[in-house]
Parts: sequence; structure tokens; C-alpha cells
Amino acid sequence: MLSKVICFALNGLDGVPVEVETDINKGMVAYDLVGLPDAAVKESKERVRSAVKNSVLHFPISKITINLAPADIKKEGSHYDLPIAVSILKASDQLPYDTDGTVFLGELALDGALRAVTGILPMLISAKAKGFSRFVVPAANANEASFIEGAEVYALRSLKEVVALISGEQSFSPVAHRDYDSVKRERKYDCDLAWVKGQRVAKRALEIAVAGGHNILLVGPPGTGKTMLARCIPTIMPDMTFDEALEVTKIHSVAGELSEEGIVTLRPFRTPHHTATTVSLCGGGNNRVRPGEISKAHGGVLFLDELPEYTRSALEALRQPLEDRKITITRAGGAATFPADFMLCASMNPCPCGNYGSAELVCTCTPAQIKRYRSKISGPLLDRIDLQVEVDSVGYDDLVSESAEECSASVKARVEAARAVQRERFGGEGVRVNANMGEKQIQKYCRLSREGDAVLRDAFERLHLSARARSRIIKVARTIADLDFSSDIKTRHILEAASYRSFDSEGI
Amino acid sequence: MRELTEEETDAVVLDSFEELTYKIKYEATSGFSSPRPLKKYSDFLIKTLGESVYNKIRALFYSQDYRDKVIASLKKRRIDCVTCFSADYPDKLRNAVAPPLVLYCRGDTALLGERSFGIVGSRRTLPNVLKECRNISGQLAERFTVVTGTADGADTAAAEGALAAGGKVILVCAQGLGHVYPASNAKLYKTVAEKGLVVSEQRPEVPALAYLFPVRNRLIAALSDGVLVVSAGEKSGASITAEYAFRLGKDVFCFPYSHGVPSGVGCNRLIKRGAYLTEEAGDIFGAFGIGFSEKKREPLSEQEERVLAAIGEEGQAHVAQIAAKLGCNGFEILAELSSLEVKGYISRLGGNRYSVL
Repeated sequence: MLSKVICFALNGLDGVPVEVETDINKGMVAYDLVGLPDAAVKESKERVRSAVKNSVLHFPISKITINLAPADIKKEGSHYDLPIAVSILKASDQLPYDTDGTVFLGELALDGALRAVTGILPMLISAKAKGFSRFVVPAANANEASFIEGAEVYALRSLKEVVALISGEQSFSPVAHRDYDSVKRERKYDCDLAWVKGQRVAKRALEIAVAGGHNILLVGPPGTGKTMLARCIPTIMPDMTFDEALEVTKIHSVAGELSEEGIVTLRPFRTPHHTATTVSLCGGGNNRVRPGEISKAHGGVLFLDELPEYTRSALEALRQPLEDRKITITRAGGAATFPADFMLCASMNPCPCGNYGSAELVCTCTPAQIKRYRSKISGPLLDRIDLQVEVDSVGYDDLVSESAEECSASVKARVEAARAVQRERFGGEGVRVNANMGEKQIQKYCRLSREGDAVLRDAFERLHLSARARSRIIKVARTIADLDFSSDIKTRHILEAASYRSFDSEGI
Repeated sequence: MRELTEEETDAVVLDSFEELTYKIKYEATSGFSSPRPLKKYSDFLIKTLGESVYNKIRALFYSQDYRDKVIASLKKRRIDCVTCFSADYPDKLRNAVAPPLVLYCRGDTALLGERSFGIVGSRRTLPNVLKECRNISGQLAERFTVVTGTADGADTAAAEGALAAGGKVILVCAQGLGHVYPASNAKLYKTVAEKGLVVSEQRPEVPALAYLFPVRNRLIAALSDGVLVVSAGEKSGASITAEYAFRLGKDVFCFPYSHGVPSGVGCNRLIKRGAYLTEEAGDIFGAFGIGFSEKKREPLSEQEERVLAAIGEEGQAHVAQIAAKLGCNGFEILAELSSLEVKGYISRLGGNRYSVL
């Protein structure tokens, strides 16, 4: 007898329908699995055999051939267990019911229990788009599946329950749809700008960076709270919309890093260690291409601590995704595109010994050493970091600051207001924030007054700024003006923007 | 390229022998006074060198082949030689401690005879001092040829400052002209060779050896009519240069430093020993009796005046300190700070600290 059951395979973030066909024939006893299965899929044979037996069902002793169609794409992952089991049960006449239009996904334990799998959300979204509306998934994936509206999702605990559902022996209620807003409200970030003492200049720079979507570099001696400041960035970013959250959740689901919650409601904050390889940052893999850190940071912050310690190739690989805000990874097995729209926040010491510019400690580095250290960050990468700000030792600020610190919520309100100004200005130009402005938009929206132009020209000459610093300063000045609700870029906006450029000045 | 006279060639060829020490060369030329050295048999030379080496060197010295080869290799490297037998050998060098037999030059050798001023300092010089060094070097370059070393930090700043002001610069190298040290200054070497003068007393192939630097410092002192030390640590080459200048009876000028600044210890010590405390170019011009007009500064806004006054109280201050004094938030004065920096009133120290210039 022949049977067909539908499940899904993943290519990047897209689900591809896969038919599990089983044919049971008379002949020499055999159990073959074809259709480019990888190791985990091949091993499913043994899991399925035990699971079927231990669910008090009969595993046919004859010639069994299972085909995963289309046969030309590689199948990876453990979620084929359930569809294979159902397919065998159907082919052996133990489940003589119609299952067309139902998608089965899940890994089986030897006792027949269903285990959680990765990538449920993107597979369900793709399946729904392709017209499927009835799904059977493991109970552990219920939360993840509950955000898809209008789908009939059954989250079951074992193969026995699946059989009961199909045969109608027992009725199950589908997973209740959950509202994103209710979930969103429950979660809170575990840090706040109010906890960072002093650092007024750095905090202001963060506000500007988030408001205009600029990337930022924090330069400061060790132990001055660069990491703490960076962790606060998500707390002042605008909340994610449902669509954004779904996109982020898809990526995290594919990466298998989804929490119990089932949806990502907080903007991600990723801190890959500086030993990270290019592939771990950008994504890759042999057959199924997996998202890298930059995609996992989609919609949030990618924090690179000790920037000069990363390998040059890893850093240079960031340039293109920083520009395109997505990454296409091509492998022998195929190509996959992942979104990578993140805000880059990097930190580094001002010099190898870390004491350059410190009031109390003596810097023992020569100018040549400092230059060498700083030259590890290439010009093209620096081009994409609009703000460079110095974070200094805390002792100083503590002495002089008496007033209470501002909390993240009030900074966030200003950021949201500035974002609204930008949305209105750019409309349908394909640009969301100031940092993404091209030469055309700069010409159009960043007109400088004659006075402003003169100041900028002066600043260039006297402060020895590099030519590439110009458009950076103008973009940042635009954001500062937006925070001020000023339609023109005023001289003081330019001057303030010019102060966030510790790397460009000749300094040493 | 200068054409060398027979006597000048003698000096260059004599200098080309690696085996000969300075003392031997000095002896062989009877204290740089006798042309045609090695002509008579010298008991002293035979005694110190041994007869066979002496004979070998003597033979080479008079071999036309060898002489042509030495001169040709210098020509190939585009190096001019000013020797102790040259008419334009500067008198101030003759008074130096151990005057060099040959000065290998690249650039305008006429600069050796002009009024010159040495600016030296440590490699680890504070950024605001570097800025001031550049500034003062530019002003001095209007009346002097600026003489300095090749290290990065203060030396480089002095050379760049003078060049930027359109002045003349003499770079005195410790190593031979066939080498560039430090490599990061390759561009500076090239610019100075075109617009000024790069000199060394070492043969072109001599690399930058540590002991050559203090030796070179005596040349900076000898070539300069006065020396400004912009920074000097506990042990520093700049102090050595100042020491030589003292010995030659030349005026030494120093930037003052506040207590406990490591890169200023040497300067303060020199001031205690009689160097002129120097804050601006006028102090130096004054000592030389040269009139000098104060540079004009741009007008400031009210808020800028207040910020400048707040920094001025301490000499240098952190953004948060300035803001606290003015009763505002740190980032609110960033525009004023930038503007003051552009107008040349203050300088960034790093770590969000600023100092008045």
C-alpha cells in the first residue's frame, strides 16, 4: 500500500513542502529511507520503529520504502520522525483516514513521546502561505505556534495522541491564539539607563545613535561601563511591532534559540566573543544554512566588545550586511537570505595599555603603538560607524554629579518622537532612518546654511578631519536636529556632531 | 648634486672605512686640518690598526677604483656630502663636541648656514602639548630654520608644524640616510628632503642603533642657535640634547609642567638648572631680540566665553566638571567645546577632557 503525508523542510527562513511517501510491499524484509536524508533524518528510522512499537501499534515486517519528495533537496533535522511514523501507519492500514491538508512536524522519543523541534514558526508561516491550515506539532512548540492567526494547530504530547486525533477516537482542542500585545507587556529588560552613573556625553551619544539608527563606537579604558551602556541600548529603542517580532522569532526559531515564551518580544542584544569566526558571525553551514550572529541580532543590537581583537576578515565581512541590512549566504547546497538589520555597537580601548586620556593613570604607549592599534579598524568599516564617543573613568563624574539619572523610558520617548519625524520626512523613499540616507537624500534633506557650511569647512581644516568624516557628521547633525524638532540643521547641531569623532581627529 | 673637490673626496673616502673609529679618522686628518690624510706613515695609526690593516686601507684609499665606487654609490642614493674640508661646513659644527668628518645630506645644504632653532621632545608627549608644539614650531619657522629629530611624537609634530607654516626644516637622523626610522615617518622624510634638509653623520648603510641616538642629539644641539624642549621624561633624549646645548653655551627653552606629569619631569628639571620657562613663541623671540606680533583670535559667543573661563580656572577640565560649574548638562556644551577647538582656544586631551591652549 502507498501513503503520503505532508511535512516541511527549511531553506533559510523559508519552508518548503516535503511529501513523505511510504510504500509497503511483499518481499524481503527491508526498511529504506531515500530522498537525500542527512544523518539525523536517517537515524529517524530507528526512533520511528521503537516509537511505533512502544505506542502499542504494529510495525510492519515487510519491504518498506520511504521517499522524501522532492528528492533533490537535502533534508536535515529531526522533525521528519512524526510524518514518517504517520506515513508508515497509514501505509500499513492502521490509520485508514484522510490526512491530506494536515502538516505533521515533530521528533519522536523511543517511548513514542513527541519532542520539540526547531524552526516551527517559519515552517508554519510558509505552510499557511501555501494554503495549509491544519498542523500537528509537539506540545513543547505550542507557544511558538500560538501566534499564527487562523491556523488550526494541535500541540500533542505523543504518537498515541496523534493516532487518537486522526482516528477521531479522542477530540483535542487546537492551540488558542495569543495576542502579541498581552505578551509584550509582560516582558521587561533587565537593565536601565538610570543605573549608569554620570557618562552624560556617552548617554547623549547613545540617544542620538538610536534615534537616527547610527552605528556607534565606544572608546574608553577598561572598566568604565562600556558594556553596561551598550546593554542599555535596546531599552531606549522603540518597541518591536508584531511583524518585526515575528521576523526576529523566525530567525531565533531556525537557530534553535527560542525561549519557552515562543516569541521574541525584546530587541535582541548579541555579544559574540572576539574569537568568533566569520561564519559564526555571518551565518553558514554545510547543508542547511543557519543564521549567524548578525542575523540573530536582527532588529536589535550587535555588540562587539574589544573591536580591534576581532579578526580582520570577520570585521570586513560585516561591511556588506551593514550596507544592505540583509545577508545572502551561498553554499554548495544552495543559497539562503537572512535579514540582518541590526545596530552595530562596538567598544574598544583608546590605546593598547588602555590609559590614554585618563586623568589619573599614565599611558605608556607611543604614538606609533596607538596608531597601529587603531589602524586595526579599517577605514571602510569606520565609514559605517557614524558616532565615536569617549567613555571615561567613572570616578570623575561621580564627584560632580548630584542630580538623579534619567531613566530609559524618558529617553525612549524622545527617540520615538525623532523616529516619527524621520518617518514623515522619508515617506516612501525606502529609507527608514537618517543613518541609511544615501548621497541623494543628504543633498535633499541636509542643506546647510552658509554659516553652517563655513563652520564645517573650518572644522575640517583646523581639526584635520578625514574627507569621509564629512557625510558622517552631516548625518549625525541631521539626527540631532530631529531630536530638537528643528527642520534646519543649525550651526550648533553641526558642532555637536563634530564632537563625536574621537577617531577622526589627529589627537595623537 | 654637488661636485666634490679632491679634498672633500678624501674625507668621504676616509669616512667609508668601517674599521676606522672616529678617533682614528680625527687623528689621520690631524684634527681635520690636514688635507691628503694617510699620506705620511703615522706611528699612531700603525700602532692602533696593525701594519697589515693600515697598509690595506692606505692602498684602498689611493686606489682610484675604490674612490670612484664610493662616490658613485653616494650619487646613486642621491646623497650630497658636506665635509670638514668643505668651504660651507658650518662653523657652529666645528665647535661641537666631536665634529663630524662628513655630513651626509639630502636636500638644501645651504640651510646648514642659516639661523636655526632646535625643537625636541619625548615620543610620549601629551596631545595638547603636541598641538602647542606644532603651533609654536610654525611660528618659529617664520624666523628660524627648525632643527629636530625623526622620532614620532614631539619631533614629528615640530617638523610638521614648521612645514605647515611654510618654514624650513632640518631633520637630523641617528641612522644613515639609506634607512628610514621610524618607518611611519617615511612620508615626512620625503617631504623634508624636498623642502628642507635631512642630514646624518653616519654612512648611508648604518642602521638605527640605540647608541646612535644620544650621539645624534649632540648634532641637534650643535646645529641649533637655541633649543626648545617641549617635553622630557625622567630619562630622555631631549634632556641629553639640552645638556649638549648648555655645554655649547646655547640658550635652552622649556615648556613648564605641573607637578607629577611624567612627560614633564625633565623639562622642570632643566628650568631649575637655568633653562628659560617658555609658554609661547614670544618668549623665544624675546630672548633673541626678535619682534613678534601676537596672533589674532576669533571673537567668542557669550556661552563660549563662559566655557573657556570654566576650563581656564583649572587649566584643564573634564566635560562633567565644566558642565557642573556652568550648572548645565554635559552634552549641552559639546557644541561650544567643538567651536572653541575649531577656533584654536582649547585642545582635546582624550577621555572627554579639555585644556586651554
